[in-house]
Amino acid sequence: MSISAPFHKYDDVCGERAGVEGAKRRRVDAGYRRGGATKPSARPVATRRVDGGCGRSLRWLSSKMAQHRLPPPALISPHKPHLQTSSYLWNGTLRLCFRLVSFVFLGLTIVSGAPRQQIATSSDPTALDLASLLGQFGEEPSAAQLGRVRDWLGSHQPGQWEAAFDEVLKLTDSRPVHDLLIQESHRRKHHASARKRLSTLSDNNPSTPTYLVNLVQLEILAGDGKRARGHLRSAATRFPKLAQIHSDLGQWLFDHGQGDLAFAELLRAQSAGTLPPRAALVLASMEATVGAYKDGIDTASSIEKRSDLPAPVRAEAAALTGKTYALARQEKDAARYLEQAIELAPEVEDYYLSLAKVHQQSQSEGDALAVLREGHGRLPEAQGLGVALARRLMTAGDFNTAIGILSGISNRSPDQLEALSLLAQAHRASGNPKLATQTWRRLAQHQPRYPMVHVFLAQSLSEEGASNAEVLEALKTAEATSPGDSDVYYLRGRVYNEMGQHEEAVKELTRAISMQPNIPSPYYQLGLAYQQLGQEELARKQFEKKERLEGATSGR
Amino acid sequence: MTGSRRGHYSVIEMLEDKAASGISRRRWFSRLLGLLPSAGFLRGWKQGLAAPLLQSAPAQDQPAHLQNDRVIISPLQEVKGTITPTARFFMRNHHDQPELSLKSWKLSIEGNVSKPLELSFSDLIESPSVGLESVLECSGNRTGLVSNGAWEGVPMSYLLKAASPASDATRVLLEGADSGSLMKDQPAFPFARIVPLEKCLAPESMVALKLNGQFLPQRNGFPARALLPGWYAMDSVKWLRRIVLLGGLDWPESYYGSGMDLLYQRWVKQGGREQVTSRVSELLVNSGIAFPSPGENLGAGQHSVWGFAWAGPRAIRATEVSLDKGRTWKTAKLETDSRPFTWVRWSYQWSAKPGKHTLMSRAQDGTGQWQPSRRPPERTDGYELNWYASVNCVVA
Repeated sequence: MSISAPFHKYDDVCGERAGVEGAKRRRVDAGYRRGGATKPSARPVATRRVDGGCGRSLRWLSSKMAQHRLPPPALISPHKPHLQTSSYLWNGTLRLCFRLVSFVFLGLTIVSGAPRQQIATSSDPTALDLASLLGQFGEEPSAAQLGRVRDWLGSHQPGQWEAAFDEVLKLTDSRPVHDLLIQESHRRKHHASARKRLSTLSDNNPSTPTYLVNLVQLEILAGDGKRARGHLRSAATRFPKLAQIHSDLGQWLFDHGQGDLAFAELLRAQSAGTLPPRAALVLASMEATVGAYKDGIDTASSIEKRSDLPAPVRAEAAALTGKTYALARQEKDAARYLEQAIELAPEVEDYYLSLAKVHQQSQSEGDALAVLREGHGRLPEAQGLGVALARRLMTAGDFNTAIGILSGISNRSPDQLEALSLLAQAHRASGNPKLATQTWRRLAQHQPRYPMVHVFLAQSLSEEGASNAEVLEALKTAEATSPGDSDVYYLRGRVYNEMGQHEEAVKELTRAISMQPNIPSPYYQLGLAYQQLGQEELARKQFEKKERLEGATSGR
Repeated sequence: MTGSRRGHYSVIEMLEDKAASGISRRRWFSRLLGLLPSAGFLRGWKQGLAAPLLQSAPAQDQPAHLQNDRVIISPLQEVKGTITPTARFFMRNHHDQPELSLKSWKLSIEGNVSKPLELSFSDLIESPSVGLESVLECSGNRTGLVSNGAWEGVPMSYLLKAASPASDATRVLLEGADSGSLMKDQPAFPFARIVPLEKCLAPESMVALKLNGQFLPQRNGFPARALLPGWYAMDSVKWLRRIVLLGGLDWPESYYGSGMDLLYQRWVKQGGREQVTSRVSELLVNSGIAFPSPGENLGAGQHSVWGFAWAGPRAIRATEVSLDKGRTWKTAKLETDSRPFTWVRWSYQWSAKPGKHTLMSRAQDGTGQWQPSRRPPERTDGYELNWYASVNCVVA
């Protein structure tokens, strides 16, 4: 690199120009160390700017020198002694040239009337370490690099926090570093000092949004929603057209659990300009969620239409548009967009499920089944699709195919409890109560708290023809796990009736009826019990109630 | 909302604390399930948020008791605790619901102000927020047109003060985005109400954005509605789009031209002549029986009769139940704290014997005022129907 080449950028380097370029230069600038920076033992005294201005020019030149310096003699390989002398001489000459240029440059700036600046010397090793570190950062610092910044911040006592805070903000505009700084301020409970510094900086730099963004982040982390809202309102007033700021804030707020504020910021960003696809899709899903279907459809479909975007992104947009149409009860458009999503990304299980749901919503059971079959054919390992297909097949009366699918899923994934539950129901419906009982047992062993599993087990045992004692034992467990389930008492009442213990049956069935007075079958069993006890009038009333309820529910 | 009793202001709680944020987050995330882009696309966001089923994302709960496009009846027996579920919240509209876009919707504050404002939905979300549990009752409610919700929104006083009302502003016109004709052969006017500035500046009054922790459903006024707790619901204008500060001589066409000024007045027949006496505004003491529901068949034995009682800005002092058509009254137990604006849940343990029964309830407010036994005979309007509540049931 030519030494003189960047001279025409003097103003950029020396002036107070904000922005990433300026910050990068400042980082490079601050990264200079005389005489071998990479070696801690060689860490020297360096110049440090106190109040900006020409110090930067000088340090910029120095940094160029640092970039072009050769390794110190001690580092030159002893196996190449022929290089040693000439290199040493060349190194010394080059340094001399750089220094001369520096002094000439400084003289010129003074003569030209540039503001005087103080050049302080510092031997503060922490400051120099940070500057060097930040100088090595690319656009996206690595986790290890951020970890080193965190260590640097950790080396400061509470009383030094404001100075450390300032130092970082001065040296870099990097978002990840700023995020880290705010997180560390929060973690170390330095909210007050961080707030003070950021407020001052924000007030002094009214055209710079970064400090307001940082203030919002700090207050959210500190749990002070009131202050955060205040800063957001300031940002809205001061930067109404800066879509990027509001979009970034929206995404950060969403990621930090502030759904409402994220929604507000994403809406602001949208009204100020174009949203990035990811932010637009989050906004679209929020709009759909709050019931602003038309807005959601507009936002999502605008992303779907962009042919420059990758297919998976467009597929997500199409799926979201389709789902929003479904919520708005416009099934035809919903199906169209979901089909488009499948075409763009046929490997996504969710799209088939959503499309099947839409067909089901529009009473097109055949279409729903066809979509699920297609999805299951393409993605045979997708459990959600398998379960949904089996459920649909069971509704259509095809229990054998459903059992095949569900058995496969539950063998492959014993944790798929929904598949087990459906499998038990399929066995029962296909006339295999023994297999149903086995499956319920398997489910009960795997997840004893699965809703109503013991009730189903008892029911299955009863249907299978198991002994009354066995059924009663199962009901005991069912009562313990589901005390509010009226089926427990109904089944027990039925068993007592079969055992001839009609008084016990009356107690159980009355309890079942008090819990669920609108189900007909307990009245029938209660009627039978009263009949056996010789209470014909009471029995007749129960049968009448049963008839009445059946009449009332027959239309459902 | 807490059950604390800290006076008039105690029921207003600032929601901007960490806990509230946590709730907000869970609600958002649970409601967004199924709508968010899938995990792969959202890498770096919230992995795993994309649930596969559309059925897990009911964006707007569908009302189960839709009478027609303009009325939803709210059954008291479906109230959990003291809060009416959003899907069961009553609705009574004058006009068709407008469909508003958040991209273009604005709330303007204008009229006799020195700093007119035009606020977006984002502006309102980011404004200071308050929360309040409050009853909303239709002025013509006899049964099913009353609900209780947890509301959140921006204090109206904050917004009005930001616009700097002129010193002669005494009234406020609240105008919604729904419009239509109140009378035959009239042009369409937006629904609007004029209320005293004093009520709008009261700490409980707000521009409500949320009901029961979620943004308002479209049918309940999305994106924003006025909420004047303690007043009958017609003044809590839905789909709010204009707040106009009025001086004593201001005569807004949208209000007087539409005939709205003739509605919600107490009409009294005296000496064979009907006349308007005053405006309907503050809720009167009232109660309702949730269980048993009308015509219900019950088994003989012990039953817990329960319901609600409310009195607008006044707390409920007592509730009573009658099992003999109002001849004798028995004290019911207040199950929840009695506070202004919200309702109190009451219960009474009843040993039901076979036969036909008429159960009644009545409530007394903090000033000692009981519900009346019947409608004042001189009233000829259809508002403030707050006489004893009653249900018939059969015990077998």
